[in-house]
Amino acid sequence: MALLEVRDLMVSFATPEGEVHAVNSVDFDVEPGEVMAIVGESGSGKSQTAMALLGLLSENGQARGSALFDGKDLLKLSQSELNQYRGSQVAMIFQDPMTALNPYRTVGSQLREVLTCQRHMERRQANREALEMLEQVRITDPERRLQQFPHELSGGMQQRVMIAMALLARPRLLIADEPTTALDVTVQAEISELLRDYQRRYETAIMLITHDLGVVAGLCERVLVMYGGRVMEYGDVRAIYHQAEHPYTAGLLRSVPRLDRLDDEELHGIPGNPPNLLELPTGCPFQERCQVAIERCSSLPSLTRANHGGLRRCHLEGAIE
Amino acid sequence: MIAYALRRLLGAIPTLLMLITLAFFMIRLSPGGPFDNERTLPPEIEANLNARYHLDEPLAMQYARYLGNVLRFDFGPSFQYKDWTVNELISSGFPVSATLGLLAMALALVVGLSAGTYAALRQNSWIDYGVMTIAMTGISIPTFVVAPLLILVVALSLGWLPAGGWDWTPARMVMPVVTLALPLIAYISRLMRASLIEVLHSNFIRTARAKGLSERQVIFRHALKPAALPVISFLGPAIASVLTGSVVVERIFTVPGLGSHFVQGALNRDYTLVLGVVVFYGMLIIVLNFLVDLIYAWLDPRIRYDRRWS
Repeated sequence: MALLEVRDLMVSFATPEGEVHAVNSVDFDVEPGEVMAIVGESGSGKSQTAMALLGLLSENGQARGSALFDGKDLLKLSQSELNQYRGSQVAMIFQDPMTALNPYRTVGSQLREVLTCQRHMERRQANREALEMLEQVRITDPERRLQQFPHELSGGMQQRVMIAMALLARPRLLIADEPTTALDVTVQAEISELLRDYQRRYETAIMLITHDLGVVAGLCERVLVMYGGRVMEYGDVRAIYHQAEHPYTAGLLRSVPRLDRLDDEELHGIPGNPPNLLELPTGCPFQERCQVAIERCSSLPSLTRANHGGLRRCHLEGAIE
Repeated sequence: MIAYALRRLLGAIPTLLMLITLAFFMIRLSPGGPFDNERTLPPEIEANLNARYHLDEPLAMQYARYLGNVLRFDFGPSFQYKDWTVNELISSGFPVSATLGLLAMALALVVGLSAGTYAALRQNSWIDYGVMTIAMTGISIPTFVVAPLLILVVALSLGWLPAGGWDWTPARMVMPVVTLALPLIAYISRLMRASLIEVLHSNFIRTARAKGLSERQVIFRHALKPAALPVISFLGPAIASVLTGSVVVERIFTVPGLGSHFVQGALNRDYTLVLGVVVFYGMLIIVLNFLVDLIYAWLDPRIRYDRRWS
């Protein structure tokens, strides 16, 4: 049985300009110990999908559908019932560690409270575990770090602290929302490697949310490509990288710089901008930027079985060159 | 830390000097003098008096003499209260004013912070609107309206409290303290509400929620301290407002504090008394603001005064 089973997830926000549908009937599973990725540009609904699972949508947001974690529907739980899962079963790492850590509390107190507040662990024991976890995420001089405030650490260190904080209670599912986006390229690689090592050692399932297909290739087994709040393509990372069947996925892949193909291949961007969620076109959300769009694209294609074994949402048949 | 304190205190000297200079010449600009009476004094006596208090010297000389005395913390003799020096008047009036001021600040902080927090947590509920309406009213009504109203209702109609006077009993402190605290309560609760609402939307609060902390833990462990910071920086102006407010309030409730000395001194053209109180208030505000900055630095770990900014 899947660890997390998301079915028909809808997220909408009530705004003065009208109802914004950020996520539209999204389905996916996360198997125990698996690393899966949700990929998309900003505004694709990938972050809101994660926020909805943990009940972290802003006040004007609403989530419908179901998200069974261990058979319990997270979307039906109250905030206090959710606290049984948040932090301990499902933990989350955020994009910008600088603002995601509380600047007014020491690193140590923010780490310890994961164990003391919720699991009522004794302070000294919690301190020991925090120290151990800082070592695991390869922070130098961990004892001193516990006394320090977040602003005294570098961005990479801060993200390691975030990761340590998320892993402290040994969650079964780790949601990582753009964990490397705010970091230097060299630090990005270290953080990815850290996540991969940890995942292998403890078989923690990871749901990685990113726009960086390079990170996905290095870490993940399955990938879900989102655009305009809908699933565009879903399947095995290697198969999709090899032969993407959705023009959007293909476009994303063409825009990744590759070191293994140094022949004078140019880097291609996808022309246009991500869609305005208030004025989504009827039909395929990608049609306006799609270079192979046809007339039928003004009606929404359904998700169908793809040749690579996964799912695709496109009227055109076969792989995209 | 010590270097910072020294630098701050040195920086205060020009401020004080300006304050003394302005106050000195402004009070001399006002018509009349300390010894003007309905009954004109014989010219010889007036000349003697002027000589006794050095009022016959050129203004620049008087100014220099005054500065010299202030340096020795000597504010000179009062022109109106015979046998009293200004120092004595200040040390008799200040404890009363300080008691009122401290109680008012304490009351304002307790009520203002809790009302603001409560309103923020119930944002857009009728409780929120109620608190904010009361706060707006509190800011709009000046103390010289509140004080007589309180006397009228609480003292005269209901007879619960004495209308004025001072004997260090709580019964006589209640109304002046409440009057002084009301505008501060209003201001602090609005400030606290706005900043707590903002803090609750910040990323680190989302992190705290994602950790599985209860709403109570989120607020007490993560939100209140950063939300209180703007209130702390408001404490400087708040102290000044309590001091100036006390001038009016002490007068209305006939409390023998520094404020009533100040008003009486100004009416009597009691040059030394007015100057003394102004300079004393000035020093007090400077020192208290310095303390507020220290508290701020202590609460916000990102600010450290002992480190050099490059």
